[in-house]
Amino acid sequence: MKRENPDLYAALLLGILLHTLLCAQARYGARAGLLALPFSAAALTLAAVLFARAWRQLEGLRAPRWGLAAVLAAGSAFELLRFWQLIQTAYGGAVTMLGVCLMLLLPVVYLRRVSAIAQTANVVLSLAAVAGVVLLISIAGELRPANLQPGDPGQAGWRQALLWQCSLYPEFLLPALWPDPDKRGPHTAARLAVCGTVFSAAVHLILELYAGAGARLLPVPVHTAAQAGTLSLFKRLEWLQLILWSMMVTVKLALYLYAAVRLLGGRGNKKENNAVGLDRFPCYFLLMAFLCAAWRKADTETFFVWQSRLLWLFAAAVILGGGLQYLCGRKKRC
Amino acid sequence: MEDNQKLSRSMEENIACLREIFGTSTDFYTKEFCVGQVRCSIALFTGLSSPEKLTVMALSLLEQERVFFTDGETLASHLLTQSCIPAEGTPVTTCGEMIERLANGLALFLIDGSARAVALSTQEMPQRSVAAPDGEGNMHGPQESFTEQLRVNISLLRRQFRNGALVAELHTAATHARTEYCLCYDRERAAADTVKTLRKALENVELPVLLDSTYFASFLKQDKLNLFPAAAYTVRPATACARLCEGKIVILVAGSPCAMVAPSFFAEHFECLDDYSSGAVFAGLIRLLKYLAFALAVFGPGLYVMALTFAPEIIPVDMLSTLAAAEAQTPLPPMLEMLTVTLLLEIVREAGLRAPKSISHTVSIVGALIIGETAVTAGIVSVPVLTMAAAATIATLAVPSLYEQSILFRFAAIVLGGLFGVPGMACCAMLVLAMACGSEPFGYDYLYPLMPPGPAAWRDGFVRSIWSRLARPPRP
Repeated sequence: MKRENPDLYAALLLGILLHTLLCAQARYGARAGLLALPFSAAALTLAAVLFARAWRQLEGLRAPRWGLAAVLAAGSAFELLRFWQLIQTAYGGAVTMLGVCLMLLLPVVYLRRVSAIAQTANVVLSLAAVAGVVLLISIAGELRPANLQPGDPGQAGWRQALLWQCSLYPEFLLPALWPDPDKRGPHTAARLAVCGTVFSAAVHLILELYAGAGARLLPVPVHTAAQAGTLSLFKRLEWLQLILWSMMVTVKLALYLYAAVRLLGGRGNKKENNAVGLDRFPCYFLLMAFLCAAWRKADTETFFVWQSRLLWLFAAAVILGGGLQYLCGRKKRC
Repeated sequence: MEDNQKLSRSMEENIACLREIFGTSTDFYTKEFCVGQVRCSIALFTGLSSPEKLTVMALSLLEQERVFFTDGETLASHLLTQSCIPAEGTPVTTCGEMIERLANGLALFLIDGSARAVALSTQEMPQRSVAAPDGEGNMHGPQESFTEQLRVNISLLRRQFRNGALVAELHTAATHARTEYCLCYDRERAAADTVKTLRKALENVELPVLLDSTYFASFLKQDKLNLFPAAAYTVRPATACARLCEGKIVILVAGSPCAMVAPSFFAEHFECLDDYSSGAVFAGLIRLLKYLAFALAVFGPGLYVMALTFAPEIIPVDMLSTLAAAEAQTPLPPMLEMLTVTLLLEIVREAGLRAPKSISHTVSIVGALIIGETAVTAGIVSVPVLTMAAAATIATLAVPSLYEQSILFRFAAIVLGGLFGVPGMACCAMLVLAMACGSEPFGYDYLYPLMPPGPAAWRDGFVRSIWSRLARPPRP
């Protein structure tokens, strides 16, 4: 099959799923999550579509481009830090932070082309789906409908679910940067928003079915359960989960790098199909290692909460600016 | 002397020119004689062209034609256009063409008074006969392989591909030895842009020597850091023919029995001719086993080292105690132990391959039995490590076309898994995946039809469908 128009949808979806898997779990009740689902999906779709339209008006401005590139760079560094912390939890001091950086960034060398990112994301998504089914089957006996929390979640619960589901990740905004945005239309944003929120709600539902009210007391229940071996078909299969998660992180880092290079005005090497040039890779690695070292003690969870807020503000500013630009242009034409 | 220097009308000058080039070569042969009133000369290489053939096919026929020639131009025109002598239709007019024809085994008919020489097809080169291939074992289907003769190889393809769509373009490589290669494709099925790109890429290849089609491989890679091959190889005309039917391009190089197929996809390394002659269910099972074997060959030893060093919880308790007892008796850590055994197995394989056939069996027996047995008895390596390394080596042979990659990835998996544990194995798995996905032969997905997941993956990918379904064109 000829690679004429590589689709990065799988890579974007992986990034969103990874946020849910590594951070946004047990934040709200399952019932409230299911109720909030249509609203949050609609809000995210609307934000992504409006942002994409407005971004085209402001594409020439340097400030928003550099701003988003900075968010992506920081996001990449915190993704590395989060994974390092996860490894520390599971395997103690087996690997240093520099080692984790090297392990996760080395494969990115081969993910410089858009088509490579798209294809790898498809494979990783397929592997994650298979592993997910296996994990789900392994705990099927432990899922009890009686664990579901009865009663109305209340306004506070509903609001909390809506807030968490409406977390705006960079993946929702990135389709606006890809070439030929007209070909993609709003359906990419809608699919991302629906899949992301449904996955989040599903994870919350499974955790509540598994642990009942106690699920929300665990800081990262999937990991905790995995470390205890209860989520694995053959017992103690967390190594497989870590391998899958590290693959997802690598794809995400490659996607962010590609997006950042586009934002900073580079197409990399023209011979390499919109690729990030190999010559820039050492600088990228050094930057990531430096940022990780600088933010070594920072709280990753707080960062991702603030990242979402910042992105909402950024999206609002871009939508407003793009709208004004559009109106001014129309007025001039009249 | 310039290659494009025109031939002289004087036969002596042309002969002198050839003597200047090939004068010291013992296999260079010339003979002067007269046809009617015209002085002529024959020039050929005795090992490449047959003087007997020349006498029977050309000179006798010329005598029988009973035409009396008085000047060279008339004789040249007669030979080129009217005579039934097996002469090439195009006259030889330059020194370069003269050398090329002689090197190809043709005899040159030089005529005094004409600036055109006539090339006669009297080739008779020593050659290996068409035999069953050594590798690429198949139980069913044609049992013949390519030879070193380019024309024979083209004819082997043409014989199986009996329609007018097969194109066999002959080119001369930009090498010192001016080796010929042939680009074969089905003009109705091969993508025109792919043929054009490949033709251009091969024209730009500059090599000191071209002995095999594999020499072209690295020039076709888009990403030079990628370890996956950009092309596949076959010694079977039947396989090459099947690839031509799929719209691929086959490159044959003179002097090599190995045909290159481009573009090549990952899934093709797990296919063989027998897949299509045996039942679909069995063929599907064998293909899945091959994928499993590849995974075992690449990741098996690395996973073992990782599990033993960093994640013993993976291993069931009963087995863990056995492995721990075995490991306790060896002085080396698991990673070094596995590396040593794997390296040793590679040395044994290489020695068995390069040694003369009469002693290669001895090398294998000494390597496999004596060294393996004594190493275990002496407590240098443990039995589980030896078992895992041997299993991985055997698994590698299930997918022989990815042998190099399997070995390199295996070493990477052992080192990364042994040094960094789970993240190291993850890095290795991701590297393999990224390389496979990053490989882009002529703009095609290397993982097609396996990825993106779809009906094509189950049509002729992970498994193969029944023939009635395969015969239908795939859905776009």
